[in-house]
Amino acid sequence: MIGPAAVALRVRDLHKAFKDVVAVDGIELEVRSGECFGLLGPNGAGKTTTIEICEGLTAPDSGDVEVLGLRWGTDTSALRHRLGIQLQETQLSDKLTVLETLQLFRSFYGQGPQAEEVIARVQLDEKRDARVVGLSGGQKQRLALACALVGEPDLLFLDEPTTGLDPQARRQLWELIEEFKRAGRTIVLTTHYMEEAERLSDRIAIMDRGKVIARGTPAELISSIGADHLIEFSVEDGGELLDLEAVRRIEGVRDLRSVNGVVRLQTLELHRVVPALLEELSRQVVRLTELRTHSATLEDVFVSLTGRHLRDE
Amino acid sequence: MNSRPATFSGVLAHPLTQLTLVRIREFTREPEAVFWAIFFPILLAAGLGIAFRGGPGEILSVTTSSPTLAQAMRAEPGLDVMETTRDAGLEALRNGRAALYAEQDGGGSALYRFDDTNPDGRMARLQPTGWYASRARATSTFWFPAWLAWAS
Repeated sequence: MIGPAAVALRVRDLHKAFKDVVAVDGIELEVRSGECFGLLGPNGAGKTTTIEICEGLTAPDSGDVEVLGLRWGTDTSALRHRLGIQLQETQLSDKLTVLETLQLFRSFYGQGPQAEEVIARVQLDEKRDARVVGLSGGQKQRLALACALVGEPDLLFLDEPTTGLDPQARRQLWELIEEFKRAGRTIVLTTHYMEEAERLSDRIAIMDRGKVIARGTPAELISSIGADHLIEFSVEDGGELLDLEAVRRIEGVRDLRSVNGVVRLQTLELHRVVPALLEELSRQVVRLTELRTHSATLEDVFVSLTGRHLRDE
Repeated sequence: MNSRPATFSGVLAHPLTQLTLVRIREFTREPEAVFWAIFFPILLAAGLGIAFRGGPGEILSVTTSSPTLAQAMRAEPGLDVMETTRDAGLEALRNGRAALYAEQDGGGSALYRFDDTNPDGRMARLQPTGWYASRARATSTFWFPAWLAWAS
């Protein structure tokens, strides 16, 4: 049990529906001060709705949200001064320069570093006097992050901060977020990139269809599926001739699934299962068209929980 | 709470100042907006001014039955004065050939008759100046047959 002071965000039994679509269906969350909490889930899982309710941008249908010990409605003004928010997509004024944009956002907060200081922190010094319209996607996201940081927030909400960015820009942004984390600040992050959640988050809640289906540290979640390795293979003719039951009986195989002609199986003993699998396939006279193995990731946790991939729409 | 840094402080750091500055910057950095909002109305006014520049004043036809009035009105450069009988003058006024008919009433002052619906009539009424104008009485003549019959 953790004391109330150590909890930056507490969400209890949160519900939100848009007409007949249930976006959030009874979510419970507890984010501790100083940690980076990741909400991982596919598009449409309700991550953004949940985070928007926590940010005070959307009103919940029911449920209780406590942010930094305060509540939306009664302490709205005080809360706004203490939160930093980076939305999924930020449309800043194209005509303003980076410095002018940050000075504008800085003026909204009673505390915080100088605009120039934040520009340096997000490595946009060269673009200080460049107009927003001329920035690349990654630079725009870093500017949006700078706008979230300029009020020296106690709690930072990042809603899919790296969606649509190239790998290099993504890594750059991750480094900035890690730096903020090292400064002991609390971060709530949503993402549908498992690498992102795995790298940045101390704890993760996996969401699907408005519900939290698993939670824990990345390591806990990965070990929860009880397999270190995953094997994926597909065979000729879409696997019509394949006897899956025989494959399932191979010693060391756990949780076998066949999705769209691709067979996925989990195992702890890769070195023994792969030769046995190849032997079984040649016995069945089925030709392999693809064979892959990899260590278990959060994606596999999601697949084993829902039978779907994170990126499935 | 309000410890604003020295270089970005006071009025400049106020949200209202910043929002105002942002609006001004956004406006001035959009050349189309500046053109349409500031230069276009000036150009339009200048263009229309040149196109409809006032030429020499229009000469208005007026009639009168009084030689004295005719003489006085001839001093006005904008009037084409025709001396005629009262009937012919009213007739010309009715069919629009003359903008005004002037006559002298019994008391020696001028009486101007003009058609209230004809802009030229009002103009002509304004033209006669000087001695007669100060003593003039104006009567507008509507295109209303019964009234005209009574007036004549």
